[in-house]
Amino acid sequence: MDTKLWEEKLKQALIISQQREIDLLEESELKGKDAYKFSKEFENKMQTLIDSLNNKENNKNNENSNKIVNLKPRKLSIKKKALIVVAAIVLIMSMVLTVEGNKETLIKIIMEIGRVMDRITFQQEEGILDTIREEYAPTYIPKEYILLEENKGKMIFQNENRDEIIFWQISPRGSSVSVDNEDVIKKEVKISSIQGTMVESLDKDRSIIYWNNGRYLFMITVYFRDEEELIKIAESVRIKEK
Amino acid sequence: MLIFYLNLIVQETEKIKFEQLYLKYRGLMHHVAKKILYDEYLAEDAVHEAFIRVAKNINKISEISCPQTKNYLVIIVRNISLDMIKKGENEMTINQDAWNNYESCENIEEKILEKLEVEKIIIQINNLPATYKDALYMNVVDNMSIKEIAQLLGKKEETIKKQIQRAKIMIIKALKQEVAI
Repeated sequence: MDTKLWEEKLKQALIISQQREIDLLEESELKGKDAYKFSKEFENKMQTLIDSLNNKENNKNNENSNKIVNLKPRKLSIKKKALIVVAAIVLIMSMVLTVEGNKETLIKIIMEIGRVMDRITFQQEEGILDTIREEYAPTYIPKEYILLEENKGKMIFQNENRDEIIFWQISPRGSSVSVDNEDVIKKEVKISSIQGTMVESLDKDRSIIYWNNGRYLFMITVYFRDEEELIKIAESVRIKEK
Repeated sequence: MLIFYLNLIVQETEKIKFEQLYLKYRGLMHHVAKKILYDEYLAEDAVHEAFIRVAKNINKISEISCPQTKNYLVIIVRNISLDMIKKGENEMTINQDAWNNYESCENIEEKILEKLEVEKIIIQINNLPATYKDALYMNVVDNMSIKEIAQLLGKKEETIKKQIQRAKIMIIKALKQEVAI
């Protein structure tokens, strides 16, 4: 048997068969009345997954699997990478904090401005504030919302329409947060006397506010458009009483 | 420190790629999953699971908008969806005679091969169980090893190996019968 000829014909047939199937799928997807609206739970899970992409486990997996299925990967030259670094990284704040035992720790909060996402990263020189020591929580939440879920550093409130208010307190070490910067309006706001950033989606009712107090990064996501109300929630964030 | 930043950027590139994949294909992937699972929320779970696997293999995807990427994502989510409904059930059984005749089936005669039209092979491919077809596609078209396919689809290597072998047997056997007629 001419194995090569057989494999070639089989490959050709598989490609055509798969392409026809995909065409049919896309056709039937387009026939649907509206694009499917994913649930907020799904969106949150996906956001968490996206945020976790930089962890060591994934990097390890990536190193282990080196076969390219598709086209050639884009490769950035060292020079180009360095240029991107210079262009993309903006140091927005660095401060010296006095912590336990009068030991000084330098915490840098770095904002990277990407094409579709802003990423905020904490860095510190000495590993001291590696976990959340004081838990913060908003003391004001619009009355129609109830606490649905609470994990260390994260609280989800929900109203009857299943709209959520999500509060995050993020510890410094190795943390990073991603925030959409595509199709959004971004502006600087004051939360009490602290400078913060508010990001409002242009195409959907979603606003995010984030700020830091030098020890922690805070972020609140709401699914409504009311700047004053969002700032009010942010300003109410206090250390939780034990 | 510079190395740290460079590393960050490389990771960031992959992250952007992942986000673009997610935004571009989540609708199609959900559609594929829902056609199998008939439930919007189960389909969301399948899409989420699919993206977890994509995240672990993000370096295998280099172009966002290309047929290979689309196929790759559809295959992953379809397999996950099928696994979700088949959980607890046995794998499809295959005619034991066909399995025993594996060697003879492999030896397709040259004269039959010459007569073979691609369109006839396509018909037989379309008759395969979806999981067999997907494993065969990844092996033959994407040149992925058994190990890589097993890792990506969350199956045992032995299962993938058998699926590919059985897919080939089923196609060849059907073609031999057709040509004989």
